[in-house]
Amino acid sequence: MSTRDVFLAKIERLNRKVWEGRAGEPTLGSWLANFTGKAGQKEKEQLHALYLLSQFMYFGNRQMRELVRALYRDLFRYPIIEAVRRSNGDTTDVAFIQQRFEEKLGRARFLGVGNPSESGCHLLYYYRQMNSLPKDFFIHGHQIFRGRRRSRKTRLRLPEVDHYVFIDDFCGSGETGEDCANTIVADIKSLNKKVRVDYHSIFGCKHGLDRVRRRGLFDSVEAVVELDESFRCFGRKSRYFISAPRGVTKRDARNLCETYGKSVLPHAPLGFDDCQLLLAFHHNTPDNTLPIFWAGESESPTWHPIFSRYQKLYFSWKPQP
Amino acid sequence: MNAMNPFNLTKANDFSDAQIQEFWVDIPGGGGLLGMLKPTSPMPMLVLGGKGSGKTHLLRYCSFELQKLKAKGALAAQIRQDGFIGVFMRCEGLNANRFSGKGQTDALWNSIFEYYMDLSLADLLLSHVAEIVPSGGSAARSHAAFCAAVVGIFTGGAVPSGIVTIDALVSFLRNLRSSIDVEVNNCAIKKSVSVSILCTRGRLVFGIPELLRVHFPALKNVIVVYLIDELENFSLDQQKYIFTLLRERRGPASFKIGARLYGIKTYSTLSGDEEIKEGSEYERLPLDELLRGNKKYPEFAGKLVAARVANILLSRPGEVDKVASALPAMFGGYPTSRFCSGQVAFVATKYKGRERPYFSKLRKVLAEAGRKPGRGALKGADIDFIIEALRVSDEPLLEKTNVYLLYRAWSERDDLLSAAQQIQADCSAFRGRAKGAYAEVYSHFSGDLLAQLLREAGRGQEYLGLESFIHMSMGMPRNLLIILKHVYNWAVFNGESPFQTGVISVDSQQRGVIQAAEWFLRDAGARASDGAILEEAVRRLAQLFREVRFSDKPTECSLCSFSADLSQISQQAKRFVALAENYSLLIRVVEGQADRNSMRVDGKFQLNSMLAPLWDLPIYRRGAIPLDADLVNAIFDPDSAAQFAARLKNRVAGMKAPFRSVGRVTAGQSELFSKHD
Repeated sequence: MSTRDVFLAKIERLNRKVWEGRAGEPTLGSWLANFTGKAGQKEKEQLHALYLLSQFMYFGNRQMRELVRALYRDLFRYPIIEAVRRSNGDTTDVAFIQQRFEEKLGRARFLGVGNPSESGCHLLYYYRQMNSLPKDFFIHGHQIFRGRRRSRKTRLRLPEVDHYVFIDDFCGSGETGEDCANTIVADIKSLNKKVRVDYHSIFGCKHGLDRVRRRGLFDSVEAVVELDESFRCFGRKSRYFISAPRGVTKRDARNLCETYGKSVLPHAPLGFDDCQLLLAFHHNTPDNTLPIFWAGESESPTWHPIFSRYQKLYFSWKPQP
Repeated sequence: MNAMNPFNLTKANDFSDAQIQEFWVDIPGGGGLLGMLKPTSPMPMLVLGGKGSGKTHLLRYCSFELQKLKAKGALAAQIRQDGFIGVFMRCEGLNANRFSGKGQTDALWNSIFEYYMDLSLADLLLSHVAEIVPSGGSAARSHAAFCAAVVGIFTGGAVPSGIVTIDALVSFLRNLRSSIDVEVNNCAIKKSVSVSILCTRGRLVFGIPELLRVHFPALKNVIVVYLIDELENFSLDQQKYIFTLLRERRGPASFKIGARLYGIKTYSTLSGDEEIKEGSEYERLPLDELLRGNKKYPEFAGKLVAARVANILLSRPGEVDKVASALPAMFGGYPTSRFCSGQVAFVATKYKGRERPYFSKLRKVLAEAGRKPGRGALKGADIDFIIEALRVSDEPLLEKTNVYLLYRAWSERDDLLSAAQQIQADCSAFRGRAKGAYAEVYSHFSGDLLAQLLREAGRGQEYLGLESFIHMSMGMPRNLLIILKHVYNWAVFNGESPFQTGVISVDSQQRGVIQAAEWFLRDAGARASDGAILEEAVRRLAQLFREVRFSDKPTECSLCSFSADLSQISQQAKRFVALAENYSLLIRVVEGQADRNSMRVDGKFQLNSMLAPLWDLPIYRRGAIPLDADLVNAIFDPDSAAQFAARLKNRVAGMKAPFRSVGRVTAGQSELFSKHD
């Protein structure tokens, strides 16, 4: 089998088993046709594109639901149980631990990071469903406060709540998390320093999480899956080229992604914040992923994506006269 | 994405009873699978076959559960009509490996196992009988009498009295089994095992069927067939017990026992270690061998596929025959033509304005041969003359045939210029439908030459169409299903609607076949003891076939077989040849191969066609290459494997230009070119 055939066989299997059938024909063919020889020989370009695709990580609906379960269990529930046990002589009394946990849970509220139309909020539905949580534990950002914001009359609307958890699906550069910290979290803390505020994300780039951590407002900034430097496709520590087959090189792959990336997304040819990720989710593809995978009509009218991204549009809608 | 791949389920063990019935297909015409199994015959039978040959499906199809499905309520009538009660048991279900070790003697374990096996078979049989023979009312008396008689088989004080229903009898047997389970499962902890054996070996197995005839007149012409599957899961001693039951068979009871080819560890019995005799004490049903040799196998296999497509994919179970007849046209391919014009049409476009690869190579080797000292000088004009004579631009496959014939003339030290002219004339006559030597060569070698052409042009070999896939399955239906499973997956990936609209593309078929081949090799290698060594041996054999097939002058056409005098090879080589055969990597050609120089009939083996795509080999067997003991050892004996490269080189030297074969430079070759010197 040729190297191209080996890649295709892997992609077919991934597409069937993991990618929820999103990268089959004609999508794959259209995507491959994007690579026309601008960065070198066409066959070599397509071979590198197929290689990168064969390394792509995709989290489908089922996996996302399981990750949402882990998000609650590992980042919220277990730390509380650990704390309860630690402060009670490492007790193994299950009924006692459960009772204390439920008390803590009753004083916690969960919110999505960002605008209600964004993925952080979208995730809350699954978070509630997969973890069998009551609807009342979920609130909008505006429900945290009472009175005009940042005035002398501003109060916390729910004085019994002592724990807010901001949920996100992905933390790339950390910009969104930092915005959240600067606005809502800072306000909460200014009203009551004792209230605990956490930032929990399913995925997070290490440098993005560190940026939010450095802001110092959240009590805890954690991700279920922390993406370290090795996930940066062309980085020094990249995991993707350690055992690349003959004929595939990091240099050629980078050249390919930069050449075509510049034509579809000139300001971030290797993804937002230069993250260089090979990552997509069932509900969307982060813009930190290499644009050759997700760029679509809004970036370039002729580019065919393989894992489309649904862009956030920042503009004011005005009704047609 | 279409998630309904109708070929996903390929193991009969994973089927529900309804699926066993839905997917059942018998060989058309007389003497089908049921005819071969002969479930009403008291003669015991060993159903032997490779993995996926259909043993389990066949045995389960005869099981009581399927009889019940077919009966649609009239169970007793169905049983009477069938003439047997099929008691199906999978050996794996007994966890038979529990009955060994843990500080106890083999004799003790064997006794417990034999008793447990008898109880299990009796339990299954009585459970079925409880459903067949209505209880209550006037039947109560015969039930009670039957139960009393069965209880009478047991001896010892632990047998309860007052069992008057078959259900109670079944409960009693299950309690006995449970108590044995407890003892066996705790033996390692307790360091002892305490089981009271309450009946003599075999008495339940044969006694209950006899009592059924006595107490239930409706069953007087019915025999009990114990369908025991996966015998390979039993140890040698446990198999010995099964064969003892076969030998001691009596009354209206019989056995049909399924096992893999390598699954039989012994044929001896507990009767003084005597072996059971084929023919008089049991029959052998080599399932895949029979299917392979059956002319109706392609039709049978086609219906097998159609049953899946009609039932699962199209939800039209009544249209199996219609689907079966439409199946061949659902696979894309090339229109039939005399010189495979469709398949080689790419040559004209790919090599437009440049030399075709086989001519480039010929030009190079002729020029190189001409430069050798003592070989005479071959001028460029001579080479041009030769190549022009061989050229048939509109039929690349004829050009390949011409080149092959020129190589052959070269190896026979003919004058190449004259030879080229003669080939040109013969080719022209052949195109005009003349018969003769050229036609014969084309008939024998066109498949190999097409394979060479595809390879030289950097294209994959093409294994296309249902007929090819059926042939590749080599009598093992599961292989066919596995091929189609992968082909289907690729077709979906390629955006096609397999078996629904349009045809399955050549690309999908090609990729699916390769994946199926990889699976087959991996699966066999993983299952076999010394699997890695076996896999390497198979790779070496395939490499030999490939070297011959893609040589300039292959000695055998459609080569995927070899013959050898197995008595001369090393013990290790013998072991690995046998292992390869047992795991169906090699298929023994029953008639063997008569040695060309003696009256000896050598063993003859074909590399399983499932593996052909991995080495671009043919799937249809024609020629067989005779191998000497040294080369067989170099292939199959891991201790001699280091010699393989040298022996292979030596073996194929005479098949490659400039044909300085078998260690000697051909003298006088310069005269080949003398006319134009």
